[in-house]
Amino acid sequence: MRKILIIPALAAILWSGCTADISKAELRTAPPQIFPDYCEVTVPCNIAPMHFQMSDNAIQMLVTAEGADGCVIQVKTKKVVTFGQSAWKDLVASSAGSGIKVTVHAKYREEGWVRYEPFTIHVSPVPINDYLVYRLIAPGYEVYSKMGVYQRDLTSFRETPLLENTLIPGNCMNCHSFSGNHPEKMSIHVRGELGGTILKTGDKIEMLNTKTDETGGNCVYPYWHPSGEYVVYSVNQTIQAFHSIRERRIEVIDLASDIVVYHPQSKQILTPDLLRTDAFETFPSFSPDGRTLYFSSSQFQNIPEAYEKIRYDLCSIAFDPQTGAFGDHVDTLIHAAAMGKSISFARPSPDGKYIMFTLSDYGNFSIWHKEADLWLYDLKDGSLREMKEVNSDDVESYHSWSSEGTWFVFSSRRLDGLYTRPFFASIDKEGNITKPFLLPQCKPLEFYNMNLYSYNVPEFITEKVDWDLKKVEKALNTGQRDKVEVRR
Amino acid sequence: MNKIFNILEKSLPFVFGFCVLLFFGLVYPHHMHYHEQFQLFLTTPDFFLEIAAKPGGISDYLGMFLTQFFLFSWAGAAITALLIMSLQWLIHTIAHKIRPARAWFALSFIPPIFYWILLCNENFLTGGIVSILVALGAWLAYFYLKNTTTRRLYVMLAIPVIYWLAGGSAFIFTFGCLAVEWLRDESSRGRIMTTGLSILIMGLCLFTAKVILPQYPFARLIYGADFFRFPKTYPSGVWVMWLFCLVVPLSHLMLPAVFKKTRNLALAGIVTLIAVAGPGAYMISINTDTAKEDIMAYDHYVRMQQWDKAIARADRKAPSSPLSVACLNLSLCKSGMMSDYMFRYYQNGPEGLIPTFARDFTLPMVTGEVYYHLGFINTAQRFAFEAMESLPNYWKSGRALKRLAETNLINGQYAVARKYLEILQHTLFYKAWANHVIPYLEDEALIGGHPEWGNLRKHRTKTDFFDSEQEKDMMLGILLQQDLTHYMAYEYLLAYCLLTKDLERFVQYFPLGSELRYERLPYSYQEALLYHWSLSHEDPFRTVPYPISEDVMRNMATYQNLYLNSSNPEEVLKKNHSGTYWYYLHFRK
Repeated sequence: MRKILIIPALAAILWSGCTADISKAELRTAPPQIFPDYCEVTVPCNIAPMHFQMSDNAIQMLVTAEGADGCVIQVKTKKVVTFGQSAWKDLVASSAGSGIKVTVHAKYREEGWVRYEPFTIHVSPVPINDYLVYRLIAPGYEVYSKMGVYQRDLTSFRETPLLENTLIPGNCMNCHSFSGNHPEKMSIHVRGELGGTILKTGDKIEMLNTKTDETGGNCVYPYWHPSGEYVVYSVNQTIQAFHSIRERRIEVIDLASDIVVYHPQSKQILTPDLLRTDAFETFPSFSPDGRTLYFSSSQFQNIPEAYEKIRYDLCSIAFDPQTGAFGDHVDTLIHAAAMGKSISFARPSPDGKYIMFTLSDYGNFSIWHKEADLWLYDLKDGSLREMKEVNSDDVESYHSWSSEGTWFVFSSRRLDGLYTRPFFASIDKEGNITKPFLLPQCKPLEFYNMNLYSYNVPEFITEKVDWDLKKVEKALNTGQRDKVEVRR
Repeated sequence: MNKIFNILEKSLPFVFGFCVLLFFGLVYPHHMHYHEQFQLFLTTPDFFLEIAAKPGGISDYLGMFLTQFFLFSWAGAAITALLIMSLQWLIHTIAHKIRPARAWFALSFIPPIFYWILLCNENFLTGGIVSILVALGAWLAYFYLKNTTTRRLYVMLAIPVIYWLAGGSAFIFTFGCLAVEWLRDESSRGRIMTTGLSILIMGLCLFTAKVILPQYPFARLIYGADFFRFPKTYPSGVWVMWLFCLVVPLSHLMLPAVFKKTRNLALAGIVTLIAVAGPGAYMISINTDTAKEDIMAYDHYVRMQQWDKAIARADRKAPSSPLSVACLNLSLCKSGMMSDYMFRYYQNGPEGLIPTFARDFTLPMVTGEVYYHLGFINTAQRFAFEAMESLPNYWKSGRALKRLAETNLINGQYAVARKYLEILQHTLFYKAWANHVIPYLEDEALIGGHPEWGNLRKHRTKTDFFDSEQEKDMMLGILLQQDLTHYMAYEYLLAYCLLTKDLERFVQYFPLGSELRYERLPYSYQEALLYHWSLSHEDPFRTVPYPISEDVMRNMATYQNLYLNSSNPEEVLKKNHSGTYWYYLHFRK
């Protein structure tokens, strides 16, 4: 409480020097153009301070952020509106369930002071998972430079690397995945000279060689079974092709793809015949009850000439976690091909109510498809809806749910058309979706402008991954990889 | 004699420095450009913190700061000369502090000469020599501390600082100071304590670095500074260098300092000088890679669009590697000379026209230039991106970023172009260019009116297809079909057919150039058309339907005669006909 009183008092002293100026400020009926766009967004009550700055050429700013219970932060700045960590924490905590009213006064060289229409940052009482794990990689073609998998504390600005390829130069890592948003069970692939799949179960680190003669390739896109007893993977033979026109850059195409389920305890791979067909099956995920396996499936096409004809439907098959047996038929939930569309990244919500997916014109690697958008499939009534609240004119692609299912994160290229950034939004029980907000940064404009990496595969986890990197380094460098077997 | 030594001591470093300057300024100027183009030095605090966040990082930062001036080769040569001279001065001064011995003055040139040899390899970086200078500077400072306790305290405290500033070069400082302490301190207890503590601190530094920076392999933390462009390679040359920096000053302890006869002193000095300079010069000469310098020169001329310089260089000595030939062909084409004169120079097939993509940082940078000027903007963009991402030390490239800004600008992807330009605004030498380009963003008329970007916008590919290394002629054909006035596309398409010796396609594509209205048929086309006609017609000189000049007809008659009637036509025709397409067709693989 003392802090709440002191901060306004200090701010008032600083503020007083400007009051004479701003009293004559010109009133604008529109909210200010700020970066990131936090006007009318909804944020969790534990989010890091949402620093922002003017997108235009304002030379000075006076900002008042007023919480529901009268708690106020006032900031005077020339560049970035920066909220102190503890003052912000108090402000959002006291505004949970309501909102923070933000009033911006901006000074311009010619016009002098301008007072913008106040905007609200709505604060949800539902906290977001504390950590977000993502890969940072340049949005390139075939070659990769520095990259790593990082974990960001969403309640602050702290980012720590899980694994960087400074440790294993020349190698690539991808497809980090967690069992039910918990960091205890995790898998990451390493590709290159030291290639293999790192499987972390508790403190145990295993290095797997998931390539078998029967499956023909390494396991690729993973999804953990809610019990943590299985990991479903797709096995993809992928090629890249490069477009020649300005509107398109890259096409990532599967020459073949199947789905397999890995059972870590027995180190065995289950290969259901229905998911090992000539058709292309990819991007699998389990339902929250673990009894259904969802995946994208497309009819076989000649590649690469018919690449624009590959359209993936959303399909499902029953799965028995007790026996590892699969159902005797595949259901098509959404016949996207008939709509002239294609589905990627089907992700069921933790309450089992929805499946969120990416819809594009064709193919499955939607990050290179400008038209790709997020859609929601209601599992109860089978209805489909475009998530207009969060979509933009540019790419929306990979997405994942927070552990309790209110928050979701998705990749979008809306800022500049190339570099993927993570945005967050929430969905309530009635299906209302809030305006998304960009991952907060200390100096947001400078950070996102200067940053040459894309945020890849953002995944929520409830707490920080704590692993023994020395053990991982040793496991990687020994070159020993445990072979997996196909269960017959 | 002392006077002569005084003069030598004062003048030799400058003579040496002058030699280094001349070497890098005249023999290796494009190595300087090469270094500059594969880094991006930003003036932002975040960039400093990123680079400085590992042992030796500050040396790397200083090295990168200096390397940005290498854009101007003489500045690069002068900086390199100064660094190497500083190395010699530090070694000499430290040796003198240990024990003055004028006769062995020339030994102080061993480490700088050795580093000069290392720098003949384009992958040794400037940060490495900076890190050695930092360590030697700290070692020199040690001699100014007279009080034993202060001196020892200085060593203990300086080790972690030097390690953070200079990485593994801190070994020079640690072991150098220890060796001197060992000699000064006569009590074995003092010696053991100082040695033990210093080694312990050095070990602790390495251990702590691994704890703080677990994402680096331990071996890399031992080196610290990026001596070499490939972080997976730990060159033994660095250890030899560290050893020289230690052994040369300490050798003054063993070598006689005073000679009874002045003549012997002079003799020792002269012999040492010859013993150092002779093998040194020889080693430098055998490590000088003029072939690489040649490729770098062509690449630089193409980068700077100095087409005439590339052609003039080829006139002095014809290039032979695919990369340099590709640069020459591009220069010839941009100068309107390719179809006339390309076979006057050595040609090594289609690889010398548009080299095949490789996952490295050099080739895509050069090949990207060809694609860019042809109007394959997406491909040029990809090659620039791949070149930058292929840099093994994970640095970025100013040149590549500039090209990415251009390609995005031409493609109308202004937000990304702006991002790259704003990054370039934080550099010393790309800032002015970035400031100049920013007003072009989203100004279609301004871009359209730009002599290069406007033209490339007009010529860029508008039909979608996938890039294909195996079907470059198809790509060129599509580019030409959409605009038959695209001179470069036409010339490259026909050159591709000529170089692959596919005369059928050449004859098939030849009429596509009707809208280009050549004043006369280019020589290589005349030669190819006449030859092709002669394959199916009995009296080609009279019946050929193309406007073939008298000279070409006469030449072909002579060529035919020699070709058919010589036992070794390749050798016979080499003298007067090696510049013809026929010679390429028959004798080049």
